[in-house]
Amino acid sequence: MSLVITVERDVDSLLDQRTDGEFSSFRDFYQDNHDRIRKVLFRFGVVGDLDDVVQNTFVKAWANLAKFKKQSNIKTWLVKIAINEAHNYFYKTAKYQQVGLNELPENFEHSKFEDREAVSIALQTLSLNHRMVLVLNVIEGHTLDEISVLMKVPVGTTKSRLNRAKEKMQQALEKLGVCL
Amino acid sequence: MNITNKDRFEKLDDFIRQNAPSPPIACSRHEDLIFVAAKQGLKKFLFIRTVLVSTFAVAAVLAFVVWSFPPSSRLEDADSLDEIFSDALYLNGTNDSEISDTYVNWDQLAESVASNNWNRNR
Repeated sequence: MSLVITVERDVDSLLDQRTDGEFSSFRDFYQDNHDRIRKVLFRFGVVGDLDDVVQNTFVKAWANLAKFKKQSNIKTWLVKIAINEAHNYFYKTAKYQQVGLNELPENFEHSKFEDREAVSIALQTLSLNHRMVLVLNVIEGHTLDEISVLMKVPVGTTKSRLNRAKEKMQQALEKLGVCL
Repeated sequence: MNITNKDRFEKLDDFIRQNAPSPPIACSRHEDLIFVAAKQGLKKFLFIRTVLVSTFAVAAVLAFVVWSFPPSSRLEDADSLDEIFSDALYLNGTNDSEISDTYVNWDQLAESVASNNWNRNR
């Protein structure tokens, strides 16, 4: 019993520990970053269990904060953990839904779709890796070099995935009646 | 006007950026709940890790103690089986003379067995 109490006390002190002056507590760390991570995961296609995956990302991040190297940006490091969590989530649940281009609704008036909805639907035509590269580069503003490090693939692969993703997005949006 | 591939993708990039899908905004209460859940999850994770590390440490210390100080054994401490045998007889109340009678000379016994075997083989 006393062991349990001691461990609980240790955990509480760990939650409030100061980490190189950047975050004074887990709450600060969470509040500073959760909105961005939530958006990134949602754009990766994590919809149903979004909050669970966000939670797992922060648990892993805080538990491994000591291993974080100061050379890299903590926000980029968090995105890396989010990418891993998204991969784990889709691997375990098989909930990633990719829609074929020919499965997209045809003969729809564009007015029926909000532009935002059209982008959302078009993103579903991409494979997970293509979608991640597109989201990280176009929406989140990461460079190809950063993405290649985040996704552990060569820069050339990242570039080709990005081009392929953009071509497919273009086709999907055209099919949904969006004229660019 | 010719539109190059790069221009086309630039327009596409702008369009995607402006219309990027966003999750429903979490209300402050919902946000608090997520935070509490994350904190609980973290506590559970750290608790399990601490218990595992403690168990491993205790097991390592125990293993070291057992390895360094093995329990004293009569078999290891005794100079020979003769001593054990005579001690056992003594504790059973056998007197000294009987002990000397029953004292086994293991070397002699071994020689005798070897000789019997040799004779039998012949």
